[in-house]
Amino acid sequence: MNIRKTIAPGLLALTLGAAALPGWAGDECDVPIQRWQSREAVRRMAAEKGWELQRLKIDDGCYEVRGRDAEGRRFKAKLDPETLAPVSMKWREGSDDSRQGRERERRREHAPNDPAASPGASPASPLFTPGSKPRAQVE
Amino acid sequence: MKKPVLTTLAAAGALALPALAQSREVTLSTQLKNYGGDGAYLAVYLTDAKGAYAGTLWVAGGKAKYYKHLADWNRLSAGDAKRLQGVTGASVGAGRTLKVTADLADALIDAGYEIHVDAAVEDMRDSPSDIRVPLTAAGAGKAQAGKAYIQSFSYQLK
Repeated sequence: MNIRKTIAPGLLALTLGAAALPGWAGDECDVPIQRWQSREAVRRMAAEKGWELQRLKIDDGCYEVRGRDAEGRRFKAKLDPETLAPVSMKWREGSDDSRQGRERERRREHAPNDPAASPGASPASPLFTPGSKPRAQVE
Repeated sequence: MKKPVLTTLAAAGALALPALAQSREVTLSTQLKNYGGDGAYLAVYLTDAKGAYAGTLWVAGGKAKYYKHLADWNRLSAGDAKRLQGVTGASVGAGRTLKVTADLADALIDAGYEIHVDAAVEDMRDSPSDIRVPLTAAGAGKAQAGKAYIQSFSYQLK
């Protein structure tokens, strides 16, 4: 058995894996706007891959697409806006209706989740009468 | 031993009373246009007579990564580590109205303070200080339109 031949592909995989890590860890892209490909290019690339897109938007400086892949599985992917290579890709189980899924995602995205916000805490702003809290409602 | 405690409590009560008497309940209503996009992030805050940041009344929208799009508020309040404490809620959909009610010190009214509302919507243009109105007794109840996303803004004083 040739040890060098056995180890070399493993080392290559490890190196590639390490190089890919920052992208996966942050899920964020940092490409100057001049180098961005158009939305049309994203749609063309998706069609070539057999993806059926239900949504295409920009998030964290990446293109974010949502839809079904060539096997009909629901997925969400972030794409590098210059190369259109996937930065992250997630598949979902079940046959959840896409509109309901989007609504749920939207509610999740827009609900307060900043730990610094601490909604239960009393406001620290000196504007408010001590001991009082502002109340808000959306009508 | 009991007397000094009672005296202290009475004194504390007397000191607290004027503060209570001087607070005003303010209700700020921000009605959004039907701009045809996702829920808007809004920051409602005050600046003083010199244009310096005075405090945050409410921030609608919970993802911190989007706060940079509320550009004026984000810049002015950057030094306030507790700017979000107790004043955050969900984002506001197109065509909906955000009503914020707060007990504010009476001294803030007719003292050169201004109410600002910054607005931002995903994949749409940011609108820092979409509206900016003086906090005055005379201005209460008068509706005004904003620059981009705000159909109508008004405040009521009690």
